[in-house]
Amino acid sequence: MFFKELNDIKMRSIVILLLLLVSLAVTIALRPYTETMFSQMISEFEKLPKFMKKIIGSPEQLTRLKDDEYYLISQWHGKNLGQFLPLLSLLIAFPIFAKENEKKTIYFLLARKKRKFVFWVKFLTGLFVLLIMTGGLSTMGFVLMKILGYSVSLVHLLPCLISEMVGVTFFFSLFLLFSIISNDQVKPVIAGIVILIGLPLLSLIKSVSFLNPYPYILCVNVLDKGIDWPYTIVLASVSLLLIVSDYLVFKNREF
Amino acid sequence: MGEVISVKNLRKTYSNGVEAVKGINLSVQNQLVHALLGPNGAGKTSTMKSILGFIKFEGDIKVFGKNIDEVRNRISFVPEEKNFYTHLTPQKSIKMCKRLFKNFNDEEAFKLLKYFDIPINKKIGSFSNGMKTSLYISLSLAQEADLYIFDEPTTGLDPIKRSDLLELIRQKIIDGKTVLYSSHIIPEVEKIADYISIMYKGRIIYSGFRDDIKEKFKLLYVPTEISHKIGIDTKNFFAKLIEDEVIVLLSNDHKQWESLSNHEDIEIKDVDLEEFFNTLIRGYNDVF
Repeated sequence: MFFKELNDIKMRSIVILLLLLVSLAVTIALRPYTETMFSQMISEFEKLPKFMKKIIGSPEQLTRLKDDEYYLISQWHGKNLGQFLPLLSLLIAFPIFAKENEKKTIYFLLARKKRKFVFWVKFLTGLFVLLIMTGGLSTMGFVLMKILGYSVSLVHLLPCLISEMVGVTFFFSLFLLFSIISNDQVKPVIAGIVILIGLPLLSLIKSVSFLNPYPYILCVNVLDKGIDWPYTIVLASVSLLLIVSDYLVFKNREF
Repeated sequence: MGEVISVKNLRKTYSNGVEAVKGINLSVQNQLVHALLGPNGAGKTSTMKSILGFIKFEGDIKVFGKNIDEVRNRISFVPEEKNFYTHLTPQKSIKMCKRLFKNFNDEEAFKLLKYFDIPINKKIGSFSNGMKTSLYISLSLAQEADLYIFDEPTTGLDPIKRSDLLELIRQKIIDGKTVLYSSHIIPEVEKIADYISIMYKGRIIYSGFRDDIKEKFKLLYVPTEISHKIGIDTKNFFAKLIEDEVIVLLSNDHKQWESLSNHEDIEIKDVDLEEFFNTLIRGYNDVF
C-alpha cells in the first residue's frame, strides 16, 4: 500500500519540488548581486520613503546580508523555503483522505484492510515524502552554496532542519485532520488556507503571538540564539497530540 | 453448512435521527448466495456497511466467527458506488492490487477484463459507468476471497453483462465461496439467490430459501364481499393487500388453502418471487 500512496503523491510532489528548486536556484543565483544592491540601499536608506524603510527593516540587517551564512538562512530558509513549507504541508496532506472520501475509493481499502493499517500507511507515506522534501531542500541550499564557494558552515543547518521538520510535522498533522473529517477536497483546502493566513495575523497580538509558528519555521532566531528548544518541544508535543487525534478520528469515523 | 456471517439484533440510527436498521437478525450460511432484497431505503446498504465495520452500530456481528478486522483478508466487497482510482489504467490497477493483496489473482483479473471487454491501457477516468462497474467487479472477483459482498452490483451494466456477472457469481458458489448480495431488482435475485431476506423499513420481514416461496406460499384473491360474508380474519395470514374490491392474502398455511378452496369466488394461485415481494411490501402496513 506504501507504493500506492507514493504513487498518489508522486505528481504533486514532483511539481512542488521543481518549483522550489527553481526558487533555490534563483536565490543562489542572486547572491552576487545582493551585496551591491543592498550596499546601495544602505547608502540611500535615509532617502527612501517610509513604507520602504518598514519593508526593508533596519540598515543593520541589510549590512548582515554581506555574510553568506546570514544570506542563506534569511533568504533561503526564511524568505523562500520556510514560507513554502506550511503550504507544502497543505498540498501534500489535504487529498490523502479527502480524495478517497470524495471519490468513495476508501471503501476499496477499508473493506480489505484494517483501519489502523490504512491510517498509518497513509499518514507515514505523506509525512515521509514531506520530511524528505523538507530535509532535501533545506540541505540542498547549504550544499549548493558550499559547492559554489560561499562561506557557509554546517553549524546552523541542523537547527534549521529541526525547526523546519518539526514545523512541517505540525502543519501536516493539522491539515490531515481536515482531510480525514471532510467528505470532499474543497473544505480541507479552504480550512488550510484560513489557517495559513490566520496564523501570521496572531503575531499582531502580542499576548498570543507565540501561537504563530511561522517565525520558528522561518529560522528567524537560529543565527543569534540557535534552536529554540522549549518551542521545539511544545510544537512536537502538539504535533504528537494532533497525530493521536488524527488516528482516533479516522478510527471512529463513519464511511 | 457453517455460518459465515452472524448478525444479532443489529440497530443503526444515524446522527440525523434516521433509524436505518431496527434490530435485525441475519445468518448467512456457507456456500450460498444470500440475497438482501428490498426497496430503496430499506436498510440493505446500512446492514452491509455495519457488517464491514464502515459505520457504528448496536448489536453483535461476527464474520467467520470473528470480529471483521480479523478476517478482512478473506473478504471482497463491491460497493454501491463503484469508483476506482481514475488516474490509473486497468493494467496499473491490477499491478496495484497484486501489491496490496496477497490473495489477488492477476491472471484471473486480466481474464475477467477481457471477458468484460475492458481496454487495459486506457485511463479509468475516461470509462463509461458500465465499464467502471465491470472493472470494479473484475478486480473484486479476481481476489481469491472466501466471502464476497456485493451491494447492488449490476447498476449501470447492460443486460448481457448483467447476466454474465450473475453467472460469474454463481461460479463462486460452485468453488465453495459465500456471497452476500443486495439488490432491489427481483428477476436478478430470483436468478441468483439461494436464500432471500426481504428488508423493508429497517426490518427483515421475510427470510427463507428462494424455492420455499414457490413451494410453501399461495396467494388467495378474496372478494371483499365474500371476506365479510364468511368472516375471514385477515390477521391470521402472512400478508394482506387490499386492492379494488379484492383482498389479496399471502398464506403458508395448508389448512387455510383447503378451507377456502371450497368457495368458487376465491381464487388460489401459486406465487412467484415478484408477487410475493409486492404483496409483502405493499401489504406491509396492513400487517405490521
